[in-house]
This record gives sequence, structure tokens and C-alpha cells, in this order.
Amino acid sequence: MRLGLTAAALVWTLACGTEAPDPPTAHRQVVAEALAELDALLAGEEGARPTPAAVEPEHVSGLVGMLAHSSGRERELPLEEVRLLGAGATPLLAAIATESGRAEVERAAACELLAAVGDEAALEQLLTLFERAPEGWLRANAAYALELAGSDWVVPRVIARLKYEKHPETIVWATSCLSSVGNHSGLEGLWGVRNTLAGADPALLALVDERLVALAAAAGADDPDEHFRLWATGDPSARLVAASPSPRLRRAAWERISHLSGEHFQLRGVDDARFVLARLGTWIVDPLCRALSDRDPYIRVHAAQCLERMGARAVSAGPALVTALADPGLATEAAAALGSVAYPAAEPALRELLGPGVDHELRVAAARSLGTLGLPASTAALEVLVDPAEPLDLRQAAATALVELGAGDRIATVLLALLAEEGADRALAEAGVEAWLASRSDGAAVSLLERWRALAPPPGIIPSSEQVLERQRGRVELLAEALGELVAN
Amino acid sequence: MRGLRAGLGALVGLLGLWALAAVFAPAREAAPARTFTSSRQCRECHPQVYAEWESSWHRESWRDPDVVALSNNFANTDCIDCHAPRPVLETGIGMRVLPRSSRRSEGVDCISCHALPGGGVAGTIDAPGAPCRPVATLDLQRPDFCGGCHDQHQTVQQWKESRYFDEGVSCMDCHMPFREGDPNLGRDHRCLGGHDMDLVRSAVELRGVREGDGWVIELENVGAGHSFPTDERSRAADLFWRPATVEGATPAPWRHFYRIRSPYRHEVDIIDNLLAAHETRRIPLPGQGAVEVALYYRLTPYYAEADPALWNPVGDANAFLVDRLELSP
Repeated sequence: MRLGLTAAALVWTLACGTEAPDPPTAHRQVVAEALAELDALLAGEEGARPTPAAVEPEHVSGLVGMLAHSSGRERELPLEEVRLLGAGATPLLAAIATESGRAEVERAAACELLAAVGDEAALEQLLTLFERAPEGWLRANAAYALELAGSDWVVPRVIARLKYEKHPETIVWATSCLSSVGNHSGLEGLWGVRNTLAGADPALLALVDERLVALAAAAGADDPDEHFRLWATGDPSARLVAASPSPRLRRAAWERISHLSGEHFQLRGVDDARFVLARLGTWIVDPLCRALSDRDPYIRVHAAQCLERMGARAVSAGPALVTALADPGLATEAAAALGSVAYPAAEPALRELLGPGVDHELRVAAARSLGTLGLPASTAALEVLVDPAEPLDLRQAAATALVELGAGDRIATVLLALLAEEGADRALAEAGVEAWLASRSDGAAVSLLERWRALAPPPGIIPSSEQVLERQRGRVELLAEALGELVAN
Repeated sequence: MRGLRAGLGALVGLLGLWALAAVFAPAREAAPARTFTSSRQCRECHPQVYAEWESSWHRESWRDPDVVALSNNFANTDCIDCHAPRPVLETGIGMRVLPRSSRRSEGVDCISCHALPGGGVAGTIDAPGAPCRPVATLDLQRPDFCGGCHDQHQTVQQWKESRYFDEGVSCMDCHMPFREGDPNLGRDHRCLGGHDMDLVRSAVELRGVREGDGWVIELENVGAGHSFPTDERSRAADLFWRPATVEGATPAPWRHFYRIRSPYRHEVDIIDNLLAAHETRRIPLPGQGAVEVALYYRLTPYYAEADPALWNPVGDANAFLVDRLELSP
């Protein structure tokens, strides 16, 4: 009887076909679980909050005036006193900070006093000023005060604001604030201020330079250049002063991961979350790797994108990303991220994805990623893909990757063909040729590169579509004329 | 003997199960649905649609020089989600779009809108004999279909709050009308929008009303099924005025007096004042007497000069004259 049932089941299975196997990665509610865990931890740490004692407005106003108009050790008195007043002073200080009729020096003093109160509500007021105040100087003072408060949980919101901030001094103090709690992501913006704006403003230049040196010293770097380099590369030799994220910061980070969810329709929150998460430091790699297994496909995809944007700082995500290649909904982003995080051990797995039986989207992503990874072992497999029988965008991804691998000379005619081929990504083709020419030092290439670049629009000028076409035609002619000599060399 | 009977019984049972399975098993496709790697594959059979799309701004979404410059050649990868989206029917209607890796240079292409998950294409009719074997998909007409990208700037929400929503006038009626008004000719795939000045001009009406010694300018959204302009940050509408030009004299420079715009995310000091569908806004004019008033529409909100007093729309490649009034007391 048992034999009959087994045979029947076998026959049924054969007749109906097989079900698709379960995805290799077990998806679960990773983000919800992490948030619940941290909420429980924080609830235990914080306990019940006492009701703030009532504070007289005149008293707070007096402290603001005292701090604003005193110097040296005298400034300690109002700061000490406001700490004693505690949470009751917070709404009054926030009101003074936003009072447009007040002197700037007093509004700035109110910010500093909020930092001295230093509890969650006071910092929330400072963050609101930092995020929303229309006056740049006030946002700068709020950032300065946030640094004084020294709490790391403000980091995600400070980074998010820096995404949009244009006021130079606010960028300076927000970067300081971040750096003081072990996050050095503001350095990019600070260098940007130095290189673009500060030249016209000696006082700003002096401030930026002083901050860059001070921040580097505080972080344990030899100089500002090293400071930035160590941050950008993930500090592999652990030179920078380590900072362990508080539970509140980890909670804030997981909340940002939850913003990646498909439940949030608006991309602006997703964009902000991607921006913030990619800049939180190497400690965020582990949460993002865990998010690769979340039940929400949007969270999985965007978590991989965040790792991709982290670049070498997320190299420790390599094994998790290789595992993610087996998740059909995530494989493309995982493949892209593996190149960006520079995980060499992924090369064979990525190379396998170039094969003809693989989904087209994934083949293109793998070809592109192998170029970013830059290992010579990929060259032969990529060369196969520039065959004219392959889909255009796959050929183009492979050609671009080969240039990155230093094999541009071997596909020079392909590069020329892509430059003129209907449907090709012309901008990508131009970038590929330019990168190839720039990789050579012979006279023919140097001369051509000079003429090639001369056709580019002046910096800051957006060309019309017609001008772009004209430039591309000109470049095709240039390359066609010089190709023979370039190949012979 | 008992063994033989049992064996025969099992065999009969197996055959019965086989027959049942053959009857009730899910039907198999005669051939797998086609998958596509480029919208150029659609051109041979659909030359008119392809040509319309080729001339559309959907086609330009990846390669338009403004987009290339503003996205820093897509180094700002946030832009990819909408400028090279995965097929909408794959991510789901009403869901946020996701970025794709392949054929990005084709922008918002045939595959973005018509590819079905797992292969095959969505169309207006079932045509199993056609090479691409389209499957009739009414969802293509739903405003939420467009919303994955266009509602990122609240355009579909604005439409839902308008009378057009109740009247059943949807995105396609204005932006993808039937060719020559004939349903048999199919829909226009140029998807005209904010770059088409005829459409923009049909959206608003500009009027001058004499009140006391001065003028009040009325601007009414008479034709857009969403706010005017729609889309955050990238669009703006500006009102200018100048004293009426005496014949033979050089016209006075335009003076800016009102702006309609939605702020970008970092612009904490700008109020969102887009002109909602059906709304009439009354704006006092600073000038008196005989005046000229001009409404300009901008594809990018930023003038070369930061000071609005110095803005000059004439000759600005991104400013388009929508309407102009000559008012005399």
C-alpha cells in the first residue's frame, strides 16, 4: 500500500512538474525584530522620566543674557545653572533660539544652553533648529551645540541634513559634530567647502583649515589628508580612534533601514536613508548584511545598494553579498555591490554569472562589477562578451570593464564601434575611450586625449542635445583617424 | 497469485492517477514567453510607436544633457530609480519603482512599461499569434501605473484631489491621447507633458482685473489635471510685469513679482504654492496704469542671478512664454 502511494505521488509529481525550490536565503522580518530588540533594551535603560519642574521664563532669559554677554570662566555659571534647571528650561530656550527679534548672540547662547541641558528633548530641539531654521548662522550654532552635547544618536539626522546643506559654516560645525562622536563622513563636504568656497573668504578658509587639523588630531590621524583617506577606505589598519555606537544610535540606524521598505512610497525618504546608511561607518555593515535577508524585497535591494555605496568600507560584507547572489530578487544589486566593496574572492562567482543562461540584467551587472573589481583573471571571460552577437548593453558593459582592467588596447576597434553604434550609451562609450586614452602614455594617445578633451563643454556649461551630438560626432572622427596609429603603438 | 493481483492493482491505480494527473495538471505553454533585452527589438513590428517613443522625453530620461549634468552623469545613483526603472509590472502597480542594471541608456522604454514578470509583454489585446504574444492588460491605463515615478512628486495625488478623478479623466486622456482621436489608431506614445508648450499653455488662463487704481492678476488652472506646474523643484512659473511700451520706445525690462514653485528638499525658506487643479489665484500687481504682464514657465527653477529683481526671462533657454497680457485702465 505504501509502495502504491509513493508511486502515485511520484507519478503526480512527474505529471504536474516540480515546484520551484525555496530561495536559498530564508527571508524573515529582520528589521522589525532588530527594532523590537533595541526598543526593549532602551526601555530597560531609560526607565520612567520624571516630570520636569516648572521654570520661570525670566530666569531662563537671564541665563541666556548672562551667557551671551560674558566670557571666560563666567560662562560656566549659566551653563551650570541651566543643568540644574534641567528639562523645564528646554521649551523656553527653544523659544528664545527661534525669536527673530532677539540678538543673534542671545539666540546662539540659547542653543548652547540647550546643549548643556543635554537630555533627549533638548537635543531634539537642537536637531529641529539644525534641520529647519531658515537662518544659516542659526543652523551653524545648532550644529556647534550638538557637538557640545556629545550624543552619537544625532548622527543619522546630522548626516541627512548635510546631504542638502549649502551654508558653509553649518557644514563646518556639522562635520565637527559628527567627527566628535567617531563619524567622519562630513569630511567630504568640508573639503568641498575648502576647495570651492573658502578661497574667496579668508576667515572661512582659516576656520576650515583649523577644523581639519583639529579633527584629524582628535581622530588619531597624522594630518587631514590621512584622516580623509582612512575614513574613505574603512580604516583597515584601525588607526582612527574607535567609537562604539550606542544603543540609541543603533536604533536610529535600524529605523533608517526600515525607511528602505516598500511600505514607504516616496523615494525622498529612501534616498535620505540610502545616503545616511552609506555614511554611518563600518559598524553599519553588519546590520545591512542582516537586512539582506529581510522579508521585504525593497529592504534587501536597498541594503545591498547601501553596501555598494560604502565602497571599500564595506569589504567585510563580501561573504554575505556572495550568498545574496543566490536570491533572484537581489542578485543584481549584490553583484554590483561586490565590485564596489572590492571583495576579490567574489571574482569566480561573478565570472560565472556572465554565462549565456543567466538573466540578462544579472549578466550586465556582473560584467560591470568585474570591471570595478579590476582583477586580470576576468579579462578572458569579458572579452568573449564583446562579440557582436551579444546584446548591445552587455557588450558595452564588458568593454567598459575591459578598459578598467587595462585591456583597452585589445578592444580598441570595439570602443570605436560603440562610440557610433545606434542605441549605445554614448556617454558611457565616450567615458570608456577617455579612460583608455588616459591609461596610455605614448605620444599618439596623449595628443588624441588633448584634442578629445578640447571638445568637452566648458565646466559648468550644460550643452544642448545638438551640441552633445556634434561633440560625439567629432570624437568619432578623431578616434577613427588616430586608431591605426594607436593600435600600432 | 496474491502478489500478481497486488501488482496488477498497483498498476491500474498508477494508470488511473496518471490519467487524473494528465487531466488536472496545469496547462503548459506551447512556447515560453519571449524576453527582451532592448526596446529596439520592438521597432520592426511597431515602427510608429517606436518612432513616437524615440522622440519622447521618456526616451531622453537617461541621456538628456540636463539630466546628465544634474545627476553628475548618474554618479548620483538615486536618480536611476526613475530614469531607468525596472518594468513596472515586475515591481507592481502603485509600488515604488526600482532601478535596473541593463539597457539604462534607453531610459523609460518599451520594456519598462510593457514587460510582464517572467517574460512576455502587456498590451491592449491578447494576440497569441504575434511574435511578442501580448496579453491584454487593462492595468496599463491606470494612473497608478504612471505613479511609481510620477507620484514621487505627488502628481497622481494632485489628480486624485481634482474633479478629473471623479469624472474619470485620467493621465492617458491628456498625455497619451488616441491618435487623431480614433481609438482604432492606438495611443500616442510621445507622452507629451511639461516640455510641450501647447499643452502647458492649455493648462492655465491669465487675466487682469481692475480693482481701484491698480490691477489684480488672476491665474486659473483650467486644463491641468494636477497642479501647475507639477513636479517638485524642477519646474517653476514666474509672473513678470513692466509698464506698457510707448510706440517706438525701447520696452522696459521685465520685473519679477510672483513665483509658483514647490521647494526642493533643502530649501527650508520656500513655501510650496503650486496652483492646484481648478484653482484661481489672485495676485496684486505692483504696477498701475497701462502695463504688460507675462507668465513664464521654467524647466529648471534657477536663474543665473540669485536676486529676483535681476531675473530676465527673455533669451533664457529654460524660460518659455506661456501667456502675455496688455492691460490698460
